[in-house]
Amino acid sequence: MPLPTWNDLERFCELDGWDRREGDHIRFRKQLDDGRILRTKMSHKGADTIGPGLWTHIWRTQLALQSEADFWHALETREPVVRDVPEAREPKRPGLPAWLWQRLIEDVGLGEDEVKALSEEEALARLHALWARARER
Amino acid sequence: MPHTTSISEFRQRVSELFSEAVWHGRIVEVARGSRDRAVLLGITQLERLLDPIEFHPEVIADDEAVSIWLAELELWGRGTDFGEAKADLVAEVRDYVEEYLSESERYLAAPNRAGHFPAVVRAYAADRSGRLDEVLFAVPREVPVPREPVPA
Repeated sequence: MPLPTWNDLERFCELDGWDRREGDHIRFRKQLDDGRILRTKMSHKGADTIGPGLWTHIWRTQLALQSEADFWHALETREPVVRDVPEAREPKRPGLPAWLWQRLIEDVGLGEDEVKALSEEEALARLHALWARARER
Repeated sequence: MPHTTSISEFRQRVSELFSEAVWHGRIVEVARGSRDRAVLLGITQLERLLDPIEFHPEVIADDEAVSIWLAELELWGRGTDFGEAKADLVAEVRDYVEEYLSESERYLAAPNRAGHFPAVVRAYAADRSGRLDEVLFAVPREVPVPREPVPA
């Protein structure tokens, strides 16, 4: 499945009947018939394409889609999405907890590129090693 | 057990009751008729009440940008580095809190938003105290932290 651009997201929200609000960001909001309120926004920092980790959160949670295919289908057919009643789903976490990212930079002294390359287990191991050394002093 | 203050008594003693809530941590319950009830609570007491609510922002690094997803409020911030993404997330939380509290009846009735209420009030109270950034990015309680700061 390809990754969408921010312009694709904007076009989706327009086709799917979201309300648009412009301020520091362009934000979109939609209230579904079952009462759920959906919100998302656009970002023009960095790449035009939405990264895979963030995109998973956007389509699953913010757009409340059953699958990524629903997104592309709406763009192709120019028709709003028909959403089912939500099921409890727990997406796999693609990133690192922010507190851990911050501690690795500020306490361990790693650069952002080094942090990016670590899994959550490796990142925790680096921090725990630092704390262990601090306790030994 | 604190007694309930009627709305007319509250009007007459508002300054005194306000001081009791703020300075002495008293919970002032005010009633109008037999159904309508509200509570006056000092902001310090409110913060204590909300203290157990934690946030768990998650950093997602892509090739050209860093994003931070905040599951508790279903929001994200994005930037070219961590600092920029963090600032964007803090601004996004402020925007959401303002929207939520100004349309609270609507948001509290939304099945996917009602559960955000405690976290929204937690973020609101933290921001009023100038601690929003600190509260959003605090190390969670379940993580063991050394007692003294560790030099880099």
